Amino acid sequence: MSSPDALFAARIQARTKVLNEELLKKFWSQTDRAFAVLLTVQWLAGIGIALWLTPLTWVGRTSETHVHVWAAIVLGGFIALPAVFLAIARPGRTSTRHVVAVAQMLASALLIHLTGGRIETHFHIFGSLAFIAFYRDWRVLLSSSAVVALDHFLRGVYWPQSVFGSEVVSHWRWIEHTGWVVFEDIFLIYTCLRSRALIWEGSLGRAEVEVAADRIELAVVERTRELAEANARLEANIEVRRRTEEELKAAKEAADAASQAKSEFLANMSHEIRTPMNGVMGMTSLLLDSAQTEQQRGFTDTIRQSCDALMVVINDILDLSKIESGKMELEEQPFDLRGCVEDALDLFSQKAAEKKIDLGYLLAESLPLHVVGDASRLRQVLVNLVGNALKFTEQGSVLVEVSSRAIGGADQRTSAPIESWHELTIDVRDTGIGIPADRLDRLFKHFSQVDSSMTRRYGGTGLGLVISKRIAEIMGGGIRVESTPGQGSTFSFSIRVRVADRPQVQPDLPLLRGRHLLIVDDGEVNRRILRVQAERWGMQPHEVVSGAEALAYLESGASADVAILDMQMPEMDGLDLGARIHALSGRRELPLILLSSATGHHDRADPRWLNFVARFNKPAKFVSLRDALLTALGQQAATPKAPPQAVTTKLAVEFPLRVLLAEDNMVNQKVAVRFLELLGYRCDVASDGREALDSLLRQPYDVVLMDVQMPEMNGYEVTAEIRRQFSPDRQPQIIALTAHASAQDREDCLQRGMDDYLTKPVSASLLAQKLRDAAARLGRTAVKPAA
Amino acid sequence: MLQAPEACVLMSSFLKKFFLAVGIGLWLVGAAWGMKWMADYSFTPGMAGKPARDWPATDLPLEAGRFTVVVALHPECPCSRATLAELDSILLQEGDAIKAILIFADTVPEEPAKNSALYRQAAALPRTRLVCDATSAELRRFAFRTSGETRLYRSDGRLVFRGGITGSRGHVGDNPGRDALLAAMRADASKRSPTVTPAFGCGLD
Repeated sequence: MSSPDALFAARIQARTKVLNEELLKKFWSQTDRAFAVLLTVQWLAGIGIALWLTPLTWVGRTSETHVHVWAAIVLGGFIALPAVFLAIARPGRTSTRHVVAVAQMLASALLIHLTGGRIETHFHIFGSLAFIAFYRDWRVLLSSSAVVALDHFLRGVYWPQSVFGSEVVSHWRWIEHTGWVVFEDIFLIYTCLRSRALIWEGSLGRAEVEVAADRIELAVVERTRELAEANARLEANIEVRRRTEEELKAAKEAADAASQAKSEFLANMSHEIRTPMNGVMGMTSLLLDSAQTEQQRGFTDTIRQSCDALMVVINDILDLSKIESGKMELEEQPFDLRGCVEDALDLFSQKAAEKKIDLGYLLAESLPLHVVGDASRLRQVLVNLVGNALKFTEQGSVLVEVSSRAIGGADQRTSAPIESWHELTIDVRDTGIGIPADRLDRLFKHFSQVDSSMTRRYGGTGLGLVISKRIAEIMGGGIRVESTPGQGSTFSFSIRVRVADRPQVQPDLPLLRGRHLLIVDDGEVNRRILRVQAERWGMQPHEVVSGAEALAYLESGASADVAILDMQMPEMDGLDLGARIHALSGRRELPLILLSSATGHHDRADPRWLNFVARFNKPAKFVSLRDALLTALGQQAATPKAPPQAVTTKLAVEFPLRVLLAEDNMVNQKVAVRFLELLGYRCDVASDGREALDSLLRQPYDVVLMDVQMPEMNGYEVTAEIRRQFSPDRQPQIIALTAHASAQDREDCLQRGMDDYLTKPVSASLLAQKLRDAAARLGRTAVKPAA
Repeated sequence: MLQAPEACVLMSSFLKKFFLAVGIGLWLVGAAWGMKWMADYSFTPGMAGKPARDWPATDLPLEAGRFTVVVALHPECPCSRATLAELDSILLQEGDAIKAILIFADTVPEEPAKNSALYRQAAALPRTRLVCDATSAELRRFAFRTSGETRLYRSDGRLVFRGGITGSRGHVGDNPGRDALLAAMRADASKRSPTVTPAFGCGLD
């Protein structure tokens, strides 16, 4: 089997042969045409020579055309014209070349004869041979030389005078002449062979180039074919990928649909659970307000706590659903960061007091207090983390520390100035049981706690940290935990907030500046909180951990302008200590402030209370502390807060309103009606939207409590009809009642014409507030009750 | 088996080659014949006159002590240029031992011999006397029939050579005629009959 190289070598050889023959044929044809011209010219020249040299032959006075003339015409034509014909008709043929060569030599012989045998004309022979060599065919040289040799031989034999110029020559002299011709032939033949070799080399080079080009072309064809195949495969892959993408897209759409269905299911479930829960919790509240035995009250309390726990679970699941479906939307509202933290801690103040755990917070001095963000979500995370901390801490403290650092603008919020962004870091530090290092990674997984025993012991769904983590991430931060088993844990979460345009005003409290504050608390965290805050106001705090130390400090004569005494201390509580301080010499007038817990049930009739000029509950709030100190040091606190509005039957007296309740659920009807009765209102009840609309057409109402989901006509449709049919002076205030708890639901209600929004389960106090707000919008002023 | 069209093609090719070869052969034969015909013509001598053995009665002088060569010339004969070339060679070779008398046939008054190229060529020869014979009397006295015919007389008037001094028509070069003339000049005086060679040229009458 031939190798590719051998095949190409054979191709080159064959192609070289073809090219060589083509080139030779080209030369032969060109030379044939040149000889056609030359022979014709020679023929005419011979005639001219004959006419010039020997035009006539004479006999006496008579003359006739010289035989040479006829010979030049006839014989010259006979010699030249056939060769000319072949050169024109059959150029490049071997026979043509030989005929032309012989004709040329015969023409030379004729010319020599016509010129009278002039020796100069013999050079025509040599010139002709050189010209014949143009054929580059040594065989033609041989045939032409043979003609010369034969001519010389014959003439030498028969007419030596005609060729040798002498009648007296040797018979072998033709050989000498032929030898000179051969002498020239040698060089001409060598030239022919050399020229043929060069032509072959040229053809070989050209053939190599052509074959190389063919190889390249073949390679290109092969590569093109491979590319086409690759392209086809690629297209097939693309098709497969396209199909895969379509399948993925379909799968994604299915997943989205499933997710949507799940979200809708969860929302519906939330709604369906909230609706009966509204009844349960409402009725529980009513029960608690009714006369009960201690045992019954205990049962009812248990029901309420169970309901609260159930609501936490429901809210967690709803939040998780929103987060996972990407529907968690953050509010962008300015809020007070300190208030947010204090609100969160307030929820746990009672629990902390019950467990005798110090609960407090510390805000970094540079912290921007007025920020823009979602306060409710921040509070949710805080509540979750603080709740966990309290849950897993049996003694010690839970401290919330908030710090911040200025950062550049977040990419997705480029509209805000760069310098106005801060990253808040909130550390919730407890002294609880801690978490083993190998369990930390489970903390932020769904439905996962450190171990299953935790669930049994401490309860909880395991969703709180997951939700907190996702909220922190959505707010541009994250969450992490450091823990040492037996020593406690620190959950740190960060978020990004924009500093509100409201200027940061540091309170100027000259009354406090330079004053000596004695802090008496066995809790390190509380002491630290009080000390840090006092230092920020310019005070000079001094800490002691017990009543005995406090007394010793004061007996030593150390400066003290005011003292804060913790109520719960071992050995000596705050009331005792206060009395003993005032009993000290020179300390009778020392202003004392009592720091007590929310659960403290103290006998206010105890005269020891009179030793204290001010009192505030743990955790120590900024405003409470400031006001207490100012009061103690002689400056009246800011305008005292109005007492919280009590849920009393007086509301109906203050704000007499005609109320229509549109609610299809019988239980919820009863709950709402009872709450309204507690507030002093009697209401009409419509069981569906159509009935509500009919009631409104029959008589005017000031307020409609409108359930959103009702048969016949839902709350939105009824609202639209009310807004369309009634004149402005007869438009009632419409407060939506819905089990859908999301902000989007609230937005929907307000956008569809409702005035306010009340989420089930409804509480009496919230209902009272909503009614009060509605009265305000109606322009009603409170009616003073009769004394 | 060859198919009919292939056979036709082969036959046609064969016939072409055959006719080509026959044509070339005929052409070569024809050319050879033509060349032979040319040679035959060139080597065909003209008519030779038969002069008297001695110097004829003429006014032309016979040089004493030297050979006198007498040549007849037709003024338009192209072949006679070769005769003059040979004569020139002889005159140069023999020097004063020989003199020449060239008799031009001058029978056409409209075209006098003196105007011919041959006359001008002859005029350049040494020790030569040119004679224009308007009546052909001198030509007849020497019995000249062909242009280029030559006679060589000894100083005593004896004819020692007659004929041509070229090998063929118009061909210059060594030839038996010239050699014979020179031999006659060196021949024994006792030799009775003149040397005779063919003369190549146009007829004089």
